[in-house]
Amino acid sequence: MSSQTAGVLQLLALIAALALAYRPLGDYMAGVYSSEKHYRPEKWIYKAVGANPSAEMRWPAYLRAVLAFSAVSVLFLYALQRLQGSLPGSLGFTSIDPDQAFNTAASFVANTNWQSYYGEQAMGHVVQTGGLAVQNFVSAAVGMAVAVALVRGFARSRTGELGNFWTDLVRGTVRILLPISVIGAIVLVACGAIQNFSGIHEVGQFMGGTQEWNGGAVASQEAIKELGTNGGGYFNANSSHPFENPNPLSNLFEIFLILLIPFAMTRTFGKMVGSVKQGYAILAAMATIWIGFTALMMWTEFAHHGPAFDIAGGAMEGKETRFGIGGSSIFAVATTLTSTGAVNSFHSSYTGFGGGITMLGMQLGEIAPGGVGSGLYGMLIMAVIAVFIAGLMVGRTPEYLGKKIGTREIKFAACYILITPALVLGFTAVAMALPTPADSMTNSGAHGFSEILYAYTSGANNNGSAFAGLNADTQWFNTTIGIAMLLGRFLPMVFVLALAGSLAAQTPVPETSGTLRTDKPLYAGLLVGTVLVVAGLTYFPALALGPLAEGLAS
Amino acid sequence: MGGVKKSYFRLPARFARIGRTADSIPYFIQELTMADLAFVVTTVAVFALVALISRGVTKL
Repeated sequence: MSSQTAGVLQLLALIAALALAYRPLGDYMAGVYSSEKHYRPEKWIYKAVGANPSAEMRWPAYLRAVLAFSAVSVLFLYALQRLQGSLPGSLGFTSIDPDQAFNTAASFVANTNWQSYYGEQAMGHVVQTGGLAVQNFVSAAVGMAVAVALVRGFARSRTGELGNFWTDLVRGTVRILLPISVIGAIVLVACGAIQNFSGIHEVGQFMGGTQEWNGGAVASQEAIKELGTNGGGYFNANSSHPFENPNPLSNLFEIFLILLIPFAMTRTFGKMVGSVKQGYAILAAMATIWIGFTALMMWTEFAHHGPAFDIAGGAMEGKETRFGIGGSSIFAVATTLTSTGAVNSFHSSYTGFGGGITMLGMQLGEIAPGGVGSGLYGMLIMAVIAVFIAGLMVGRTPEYLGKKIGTREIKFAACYILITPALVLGFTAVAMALPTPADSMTNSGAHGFSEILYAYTSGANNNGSAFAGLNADTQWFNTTIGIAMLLGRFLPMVFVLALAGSLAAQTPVPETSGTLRTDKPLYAGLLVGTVLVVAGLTYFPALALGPLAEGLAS
Repeated sequence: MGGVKKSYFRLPARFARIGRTADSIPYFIQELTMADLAFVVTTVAVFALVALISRGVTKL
């Protein structure tokens, strides 16, 4: 079987698995977020944090809870790393330096998992399991909670109430992420991923000399790393490390975990707004972009342009032979079109166009299907923009799901789509203009520019994948990427929740013959076009200076 | 960065209490630096900025 055929078969198997899980998981999540019942362990948590799970929140209160929880999480995780040297179970590792501790704390709380440290050489069991793994769960649950709040904004009328953040956070963690992660960890252990609390082993090498290998609770962290679209690896090599991702089957399973919740949340959306067809339209837009990007990536990476490529069957540099070009390309697209950022190959080694595809995936706003929660609310914002554009074309006041999209709603949506590009392009411009950050680049010219553009794109979009080639463990990058990650995560949430509050307070307008049908393929196509045009117009000049210039020159 | 070396001269009696206090501070607190304060302030400032912007958003 040729490697191209293997790649296509893997993609088809993945689509089939996702299709099978779509309906049951989507319906289950809708039930979780709509249920009136609180389980006993959940009640203990509410009591411990002093929250009233039945109290409804308006958007400012919901946002305050999100910010308070996240701010405390950053400070706690920061302290945990700074005190690592004094904590038991730290494998003898010293405390993390302040700038790196800040970067890592911001990164894991913002669901980014950008790592400027070597996991196996810096973090002991306590920080890995008690700090980073905990944030893998709760940061993902925060994203899902905000998405559900927006969905309630569409579903509810004549009330500004969006639910209760603490209830959504706890249920997302306890009823959705935790059970699936347990199953996922068992599957990964069965595939060969390690799961222990072993110390550091010194092992001999074939060519002489020795090497130090860590044990660790890797499989359990790997499961939530992918499921929660977090992406922070236990080991520096991330999902290309054989302890994290041992074989092609585990590789395919990890990609499945990455895409599982983001796609299924469109079903949850459809159920909660009372029309599953609306969910299908959003799903169709997400799936079109994802499949299109995957096909494009496989085409560009399989292309033969010289003797080395001919012998390897494509661009094999930076890719694991056990995954091949197909398994690496599917993973690279899945990880950058969601907010995961895990890598099983080095994106810097992709062809110029391949690297550009990974970057563009993030620059779309990671909405196809996007991160858990953040993908859905990002796509719904684009859906609002799309009906607005359609309304302008036919001269009607735009409506979406029975809600009028007026000036206020468009202001919120416009602010949302401007924040992240402003952070990416602003920080990139400053880093390129200053003399010191450029010292971190391994390459000069277009590729060097791509390294810095990728770093801020990854940070501000809460992706966390690294292009490789950039030494990001400097005070400048640790601090600025840390700030970009926090602002890139929480500023958009302000506008999402404000939009949700505004929509929930509206009286629904009746559907007429002139209403744009948003559950039809035509609208899904309009949505795809809107996403591509908005991202293209925003980022094309920067992409032209980096990956496009490199791709056209090679 | 190297550790702090112990002083090799005896402190005058009037400073003995200060010396004892420094020794009795737990190691993990001695590790904390001004950079820690700077990053804690940065974190609080970022979240405060987001909260401030959200107050402005209510007026949109």
